[in-house]
Amino acid sequence: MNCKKIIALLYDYMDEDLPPDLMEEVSSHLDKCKMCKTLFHTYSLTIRLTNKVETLHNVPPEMINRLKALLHIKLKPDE
Amino acid sequence: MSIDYKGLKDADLVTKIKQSDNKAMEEIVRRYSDKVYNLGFHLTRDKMAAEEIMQDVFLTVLSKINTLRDNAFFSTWLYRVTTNTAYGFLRALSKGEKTMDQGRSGNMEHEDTYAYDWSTLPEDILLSDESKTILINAIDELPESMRIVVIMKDIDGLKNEEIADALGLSVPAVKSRLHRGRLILRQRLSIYFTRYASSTGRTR
Repeated sequence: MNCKKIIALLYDYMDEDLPPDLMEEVSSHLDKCKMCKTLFHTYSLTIRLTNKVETLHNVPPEMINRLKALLHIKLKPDE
Repeated sequence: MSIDYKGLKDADLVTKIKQSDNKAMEEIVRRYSDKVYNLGFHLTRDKMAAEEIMQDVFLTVLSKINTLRDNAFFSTWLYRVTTNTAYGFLRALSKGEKTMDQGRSGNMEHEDTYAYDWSTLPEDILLSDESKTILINAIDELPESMRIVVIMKDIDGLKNEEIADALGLSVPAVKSRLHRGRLILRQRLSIYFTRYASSTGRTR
């Protein structure tokens, strides 16, 4: 297996979504090839760092109030 | 007799919204406002735009909910409405044009980004403000087709199937765009961390 093929299979390898023989082939290539091993480590870490990119999490309460006010104009009154 | 709205499934709330039940709508807002707001923010990187997107999305929920045939697919439908609304904003800001082409992202093969394994760097360097800025800029500069799937999957944590449905793509297409996007981000980070490490004598 060559290095180009490793790049193409990396996504499914990480998800363990390859047939067993291919999983095995990728693993053994990674054990032997320092560059692909580096690719594998840094690709995984890139995903982990992206997971940590700022999320605002909660909408500020005043924004929710503005949204609700806006929606209430459109809503039909409760019976 | 009062209804426990918090205990209802999305599909049941949607049924009630279709019957003009205000409390059901409030519960949907409670469940999804953070997700819609964050996705809008990540796509536009603008808090004011994110608020407007959120407002437009929930107004669309009210006005178009009757077009949703299968109530069980509400969340998918909502993500589709959100991405479409955000795209509209990007077009209006003409920010979309900048990222619609291949941008500057595709052409960095001249530097060897496989030689140094920067995953061994300490966390405080990996998570420094500067490295976060590098990553955020790299995400902003991804071609739009990749940027949106990277944001939906790796930042907002949606499943491949949800992304595929929201964007009208096949799951393999989502995976392919995600993979290419991640490879570009990895390359950008590699260039940064390799330079950093060599300037501090860590690569030897």
